[in-house]
Amino acid sequence: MARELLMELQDMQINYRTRAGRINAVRSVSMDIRKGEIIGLVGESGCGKSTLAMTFLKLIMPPGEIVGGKLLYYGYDNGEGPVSVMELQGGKLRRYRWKEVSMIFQGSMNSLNPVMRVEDQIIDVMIDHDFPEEEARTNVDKYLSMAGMDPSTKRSYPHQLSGGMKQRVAIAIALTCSPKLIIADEPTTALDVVVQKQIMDQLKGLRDRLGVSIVFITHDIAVIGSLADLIYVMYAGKIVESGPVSEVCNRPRHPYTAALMSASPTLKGEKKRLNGIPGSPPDLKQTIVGCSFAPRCPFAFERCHIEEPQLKMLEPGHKAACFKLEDVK
Amino acid sequence: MSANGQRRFFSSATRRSAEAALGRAWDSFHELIKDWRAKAGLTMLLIIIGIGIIGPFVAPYSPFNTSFTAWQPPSSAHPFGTDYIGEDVLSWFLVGTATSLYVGFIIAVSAAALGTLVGVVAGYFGSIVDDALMRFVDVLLIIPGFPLLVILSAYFPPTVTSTIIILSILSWPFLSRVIRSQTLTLKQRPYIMASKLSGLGSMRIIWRDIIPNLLPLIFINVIFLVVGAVVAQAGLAFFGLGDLKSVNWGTMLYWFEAQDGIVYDAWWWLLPPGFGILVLAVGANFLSNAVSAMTNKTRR
Amino acid sequence: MVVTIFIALTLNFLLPRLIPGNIALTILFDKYGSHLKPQDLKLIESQLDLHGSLLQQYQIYLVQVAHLNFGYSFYNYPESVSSIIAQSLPWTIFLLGSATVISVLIGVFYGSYIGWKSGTRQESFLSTFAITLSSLPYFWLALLLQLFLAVVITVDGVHLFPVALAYSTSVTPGANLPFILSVLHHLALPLMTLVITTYPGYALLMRNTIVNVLGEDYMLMAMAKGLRVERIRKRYVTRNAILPVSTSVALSIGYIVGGAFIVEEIFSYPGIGYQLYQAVTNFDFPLIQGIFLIITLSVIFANFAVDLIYAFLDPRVTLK
Repeated sequence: MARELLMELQDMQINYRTRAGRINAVRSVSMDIRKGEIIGLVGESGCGKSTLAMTFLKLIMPPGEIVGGKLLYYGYDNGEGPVSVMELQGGKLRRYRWKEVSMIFQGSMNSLNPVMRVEDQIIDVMIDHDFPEEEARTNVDKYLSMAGMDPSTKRSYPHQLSGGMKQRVAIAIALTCSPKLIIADEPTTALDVVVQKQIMDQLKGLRDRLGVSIVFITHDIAVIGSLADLIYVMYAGKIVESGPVSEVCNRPRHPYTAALMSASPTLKGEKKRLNGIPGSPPDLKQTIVGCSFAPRCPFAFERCHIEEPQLKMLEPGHKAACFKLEDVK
Repeated sequence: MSANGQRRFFSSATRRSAEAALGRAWDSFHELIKDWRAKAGLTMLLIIIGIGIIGPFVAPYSPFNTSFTAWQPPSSAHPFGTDYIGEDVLSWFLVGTATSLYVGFIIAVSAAALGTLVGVVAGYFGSIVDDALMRFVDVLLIIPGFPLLVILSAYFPPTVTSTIIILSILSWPFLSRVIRSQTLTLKQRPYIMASKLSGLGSMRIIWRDIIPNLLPLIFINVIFLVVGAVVAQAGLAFFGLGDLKSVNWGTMLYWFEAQDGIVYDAWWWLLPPGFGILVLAVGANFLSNAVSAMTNKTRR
Repeated sequence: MVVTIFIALTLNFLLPRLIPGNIALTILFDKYGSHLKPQDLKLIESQLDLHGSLLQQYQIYLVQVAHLNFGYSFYNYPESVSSIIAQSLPWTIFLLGSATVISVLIGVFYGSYIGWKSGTRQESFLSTFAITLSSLPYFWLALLLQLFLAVVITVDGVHLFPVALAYSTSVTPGANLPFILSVLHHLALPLMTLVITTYPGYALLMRNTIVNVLGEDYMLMAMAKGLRVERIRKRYVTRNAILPVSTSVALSIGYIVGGAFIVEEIFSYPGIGYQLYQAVTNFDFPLIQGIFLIITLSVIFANFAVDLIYAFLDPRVTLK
């Protein structure tokens, strides 16, 4: 049952240097990604999930800097063991990007080059990854239809397409080099619910057919319930809970996960009252003492404000970082 | 009592919002001056302005004193040499700086007044007024400036007044676009909306709330207009238009060319007016560069 | 465009008619009355004679302009204004065209270079250098170049560049090598003046737009896609950054015209600016007006042409 390991993130720490001080955007995050797995990464905006997404492609640029941790990629089948992504340079890095790991960016409306036709933005990445131009050209239609687009739109410029169509183009581009991992950073945020649903189904279908792994980043835990195999819940630069979807969604162990669940509507299921989470995330410029969620947590007690809880295995595969490790309802 | 009291009220309100706007401008000025280019630019401008103010009083001779030997290279008696009829080039430069700046300043202020008027009216009233005025401004912007300048000057008598009138007429359109867009954003501000809803007249809102907030912008643009006017004025004089008897940087260059200064290798006659214009223009450009760098930074 | 042309035409029509007492004729008679034959004077008079209502005059004027008939030059009588323009316009287009193309090319390359290096010491130095160059008054630069490169500095007793004119009097105009070389040799200094004062503006604009484009989301995506660096530069950065530059080329044409005119005057380059200078010094009013009209129309058309190019470069813009 255990799938093969594809990517291993160990104790990743990322800072941003700003005039106002250093922001600890990602504070020690570890994550295993296995082949053919869909991982949901959930958290409020500003929790560091987009920064984490950039890490997979070594796209952290100043003022951001990686101050600690490892990223190991196991996808090269050359018997030489894992590759450290942070040490990739020049041509090797260029070939790693998109051919091994590709990305669907947040707000694809702005991530397409406005002066290039859709097909050219699919072809250029293939040519630069050593596909013959002939092959690249003939494959444009294939990738567009995989992403649920009518191939006839390939001659269009981005501004001629609707938001949902641009998103599909971004998915098509992400598929072009048959990567082993796709990072999808809030790919459906700006879209209406119907299109959102279609795109989610598309992604799931792609995993089933191509066996690609997907890291799906969202702020909406309900979106991911039907899609992901595993869920990582991130708060203030840290993973506070992780585990199989069925476990985490049905029996959330961390109060923050529980709060996220009650703050979002379910697609199916019974009507329920939606509760916002009072308060706001901590200032990441300050050193956080104790549990970062404690100030907003209804169950917090003395210890929560002094000591920082570590992730603890509760059941096989299900971890949470909370001193009050019992069902929170 | 009421009319009088009201007038005083409005004028002090105008003053208060002007003070607030200028206070904010003063803060941004402190921020601005941290950029070395702003510092250097401002220094250059101040040097030239300083020369312009004290120049006429310290000029060693009258610019029209022709009693010296012509075409003399720089010497202790004439640090900048003499020109084709033996006038002292240093005196020409000192007096010419004053004239160039003075004329440039008058042009800049009148163009700024005109540009502000058109810009505010177009921006504030919008719709047809805006369309008509901006259409007109577009036309003025597209017609090549220099030939228009030449043709206008050809039909006006060659006096300093003509130069001032013509350059003022031609300098305002760009500013009016800047002012208009700023007015459009000001108009959306809540306190101006509030003034409008409280039934205050348009003229009063413009005078009390809009113009004071535009002052820093106008002030910065006056600096650039002065420089633009000085350069244009020199170009015009250089083309033989305008008052050739006037002593300014442009007429210095004109006489240099007309009297074949080139043939006499009279570099000492050519360098001072050119350097004057160059330092002024570099100063303004450094300053403008620093200003736009700062506004870009705050926008991010 | 039509509106602009119409306003330019009307302005050109009204200007001489707004001047009380027809100064033009007075000046002319004062100056040349004694040199001209009586029948010529009659002809000139009839050319300026303003019979009928303003509207009728305007009609006649429009018809004449449509036939490119701008009357006769006072000073070069009996030569017609259109023939003088026809002789001098090609030189101006040659000078202005080559100056614009070279300035844009240098500006785009220079600007791209410093744009990529944004934030470094080298960039700061090169930008400052560009700002300084762009502040040079072109007439002064022209005189400096003329003084030093054509007069003061000599190599083995030979001047580096000619002081004036468009080609040497010792060559015969035509498609022969000595003539072409002479034309290029004479073009050098005027061209240098215009390029040195014009390209920094484009370079600084290019730098700013490059910096903006580098911050766009599609740049991040281009990096993520693992594209080759040259492709990112060409198809993503330069391709997008060039758009605002092309708009500014259109806006600056009118400005460069002014520079070109003064440069022509300094180097006695027989273009339309030199003719305009001659016309101004000789009070040749029909010529002044003809030149103004032609230049204005050319600039308007040039703007229109740049608009067309822009629509071609930017797929988001469609021509109405």
